[in-house]
Amino acid sequence: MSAPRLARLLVRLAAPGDRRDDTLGDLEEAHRRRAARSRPRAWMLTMAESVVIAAALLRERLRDGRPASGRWLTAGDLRLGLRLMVRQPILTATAVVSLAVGIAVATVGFAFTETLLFSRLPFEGGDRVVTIRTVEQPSRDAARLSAEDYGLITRQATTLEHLGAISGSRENVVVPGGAVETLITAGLTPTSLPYLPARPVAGRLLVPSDGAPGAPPVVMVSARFLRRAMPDVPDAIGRTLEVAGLRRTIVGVLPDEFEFPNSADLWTPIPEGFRDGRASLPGDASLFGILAPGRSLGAARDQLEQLSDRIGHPAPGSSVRLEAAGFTDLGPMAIDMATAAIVAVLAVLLVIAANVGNLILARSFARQREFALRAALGASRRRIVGQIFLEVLLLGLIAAAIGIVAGDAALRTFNRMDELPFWADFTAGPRATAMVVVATLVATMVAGAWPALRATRRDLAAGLHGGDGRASDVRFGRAAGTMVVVQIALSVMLLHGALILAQGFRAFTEPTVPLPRDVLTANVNVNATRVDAASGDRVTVRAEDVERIARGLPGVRAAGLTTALPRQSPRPVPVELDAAEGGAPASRLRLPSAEVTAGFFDAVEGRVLAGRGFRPGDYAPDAPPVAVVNAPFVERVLGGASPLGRRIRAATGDTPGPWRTIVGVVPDLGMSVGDPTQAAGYYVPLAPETTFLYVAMRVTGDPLEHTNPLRRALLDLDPGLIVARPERLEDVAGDDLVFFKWGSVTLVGLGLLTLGLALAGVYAMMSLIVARRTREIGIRLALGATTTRVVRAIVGRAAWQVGTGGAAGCLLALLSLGMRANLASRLGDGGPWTLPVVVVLLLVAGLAATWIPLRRALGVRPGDALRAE
Amino acid sequence: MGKDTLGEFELLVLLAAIRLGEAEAYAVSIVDEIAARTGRDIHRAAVYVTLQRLEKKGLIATRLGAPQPERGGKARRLVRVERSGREAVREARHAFQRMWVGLGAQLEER
Repeated sequence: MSAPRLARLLVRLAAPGDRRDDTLGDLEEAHRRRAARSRPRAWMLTMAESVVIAAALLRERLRDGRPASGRWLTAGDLRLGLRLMVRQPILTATAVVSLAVGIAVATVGFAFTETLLFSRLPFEGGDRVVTIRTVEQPSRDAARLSAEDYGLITRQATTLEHLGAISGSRENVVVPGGAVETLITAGLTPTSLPYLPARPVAGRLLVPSDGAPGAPPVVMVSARFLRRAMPDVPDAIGRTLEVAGLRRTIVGVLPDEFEFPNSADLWTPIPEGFRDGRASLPGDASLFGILAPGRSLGAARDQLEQLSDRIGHPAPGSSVRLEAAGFTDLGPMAIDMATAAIVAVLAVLLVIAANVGNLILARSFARQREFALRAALGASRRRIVGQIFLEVLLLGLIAAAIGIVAGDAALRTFNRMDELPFWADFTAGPRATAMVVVATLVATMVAGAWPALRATRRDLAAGLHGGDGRASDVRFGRAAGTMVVVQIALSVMLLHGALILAQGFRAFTEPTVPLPRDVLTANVNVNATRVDAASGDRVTVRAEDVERIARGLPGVRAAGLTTALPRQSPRPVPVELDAAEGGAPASRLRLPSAEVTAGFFDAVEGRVLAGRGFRPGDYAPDAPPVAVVNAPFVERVLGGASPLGRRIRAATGDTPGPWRTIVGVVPDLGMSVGDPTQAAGYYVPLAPETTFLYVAMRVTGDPLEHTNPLRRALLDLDPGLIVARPERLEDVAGDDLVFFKWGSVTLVGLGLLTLGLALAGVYAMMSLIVARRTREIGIRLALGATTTRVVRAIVGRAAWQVGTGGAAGCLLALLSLGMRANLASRLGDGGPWTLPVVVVLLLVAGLAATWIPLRRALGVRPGDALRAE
Repeated sequence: MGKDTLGEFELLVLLAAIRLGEAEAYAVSIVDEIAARTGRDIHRAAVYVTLQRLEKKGLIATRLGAPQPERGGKARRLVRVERSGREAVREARHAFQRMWVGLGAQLEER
């Protein structure tokens, strides 16, 4: 409801100190009045209004001789700067777009950093909530404590006002009407609720007796869940839900805003017996605490560290440490990520600022007569430097407004992602906004102050004498020329990579392998929190049971299981192929593979081309190891020779897998889509017990309609079996598609931007050369020089830069192809035409950048040129 | 505008401030008042600039009111029209009236 942060920032910066607060108050009041009518419209209007107000207030300050950015500037300088911006629209647009991209990247990067490092739980007292991990040393696995240990911690941890327990999971929930949904659920100690902003909109909160042994099972639900799953039920209190196989009575409804410890729709009670040492915590629960008033996280850490010495040791040579952290602390990883983000952002911004500085430098050299005239009229060097700096500051301000709005839009998109923690809010907070302002000023300094100082370095009065300009050309040439060459090289490499990625994307979306359209696929996994009470190991599921149940469902014509569905492109791993009898020698390869059940090939219509598929006997514990290869394997690895009878084994790590006899060949079932060189692969029998697999069911009718029957049937087998991501076979790996799409768009955009900036550098340099050599061109033409000779003299340097940069870029592009296999194995090499396309694009753009100055040079009339000096 | 004469917009702002009275005259209400009475779409930026200039001329004085929750806890800058401000408004009215005399027939629509 408050006025947009950017609007407030603009007004704050522009308003005189003694008027700042009331002007901000006016902005706030006007915004709230607008927002009461229409919020989106209010946002737009307030933003626009803040820009007008800031401009008017700044103008007034300049009129008063109290300039905002230094006492050596006047309103006249501001007017001149604005006029130059309008008179040189190409330069203005290039500089503004470049700086805006940099500032948008900075906004996203700094907001990302702020969220990683400074997030707090979004409720009062949220900064007092700490997580407490029980870590076994030296393995750093999560340790389980005895009931007595928990009792000891509760009694002795005086830095904590409250000690509670939380858990988070996904569970199968049978909603009224019979549908099965997989929902995010949470466990919570009921005595913790008073410390949290949990105010039920119906019913009551959980109470300690709800978690007592033998108490009737109860659950609190979110209002959001009720609206979606039980829209026709007026009063849900007292109704029951089946959660992970257990029927629970709904006792309370929490508002949508309540989120803790995750974005759960259901909350169940965790028994509180651990507090007085009567019972241990459930296997999936962990401790959390509320800091006592006036106690810091550091004090709690120290106390828990001391307590660690007094709790039980699980095994000789190991120990358990209690580690406290803020609830939103992401640990050292967050600091690393934030550092990487800041470095990347500053690098991008500085490169862009240096480019813009290059443009400004070229323009400043072209204006040396103007500066000389001003110096002759009494302007100090400081004044002229300030003038150039102000012009860039204006460009920077416009770019900042565009960049911050664009960055904000990108952050809004990011915030809509489901997978983010509930407390993560990727918006530019005060720290991020301050950093963006500082980064903008730094970029402006680089882009403005550096060329200003360089352009005014020599005796300005010499500019009035005319001079030959060559000294300036050389000064401009060395640094800027190198930068242009490097940028052209990088942009060629980047564009080439982007085009390959774009091709990979196209190949990925085109169905290269015919797969049936009537197949439902889904991920089946055992709830990650379920561990065997006796051994502490994760509970597994028998693949045979899942396949039998899937095959037995009505409307299912075939069903099978696998560890990787078609189009999921399992990662290639090293394998060995033994020598053929009297033929091909043994070889080592990198191939993708997948484990499958006997019914899998039938489920995805993978007809056996030679030999046989897997049989039930292949899954017996003492069965000889076998493998089935695909058709691309036969073609690419064996050159069409029969694979039957050859042996293959995985060679990952120190102990290679068993030799497997190849018993059959199936068609290409999309082992790798988008990269034909990675299509060759092989299949092995699926392990009998697992925690994670995919089911593929060929069905009659709409495949998605078979999701609920599958969920229900698997629920009967094991309530902890989660059926996730049900989708048609043709939609598998859709996320990769989005990644490829955005990845290619971003890279192509960055490549074009870099190329544009580099060519803007060529344009600036060419303009400068033509401007400073007008007299020479005139004399040459007067003395009878041909147009060709003049063109060669003018274009030579630009051609050298474009040529050198282009050649270096091609070399880099070809070298980067070598690294490609490690970075993104699914991509092809882009084919023979990709690099020529980039080179042609470079030449066309280079020609365009040199054409305008060149035309100006050829239009010089000898008489005019001689008179001009 | 010179120190002693009022521009048209300055006059409008002064009139609005006099109408609203010292307790209610501040930038937002002045914009509303002028918009309501003249039907013009007035921008608040122009009012800020005009108020600053009027204050420099000594025609108005401003002070901060009490913080208000609907303004994000910020106070209003309340405007009081000084004696010299009222004098300037009267002078402007007389100037207009004198200029108006005898122009009735010429301003009739034909």
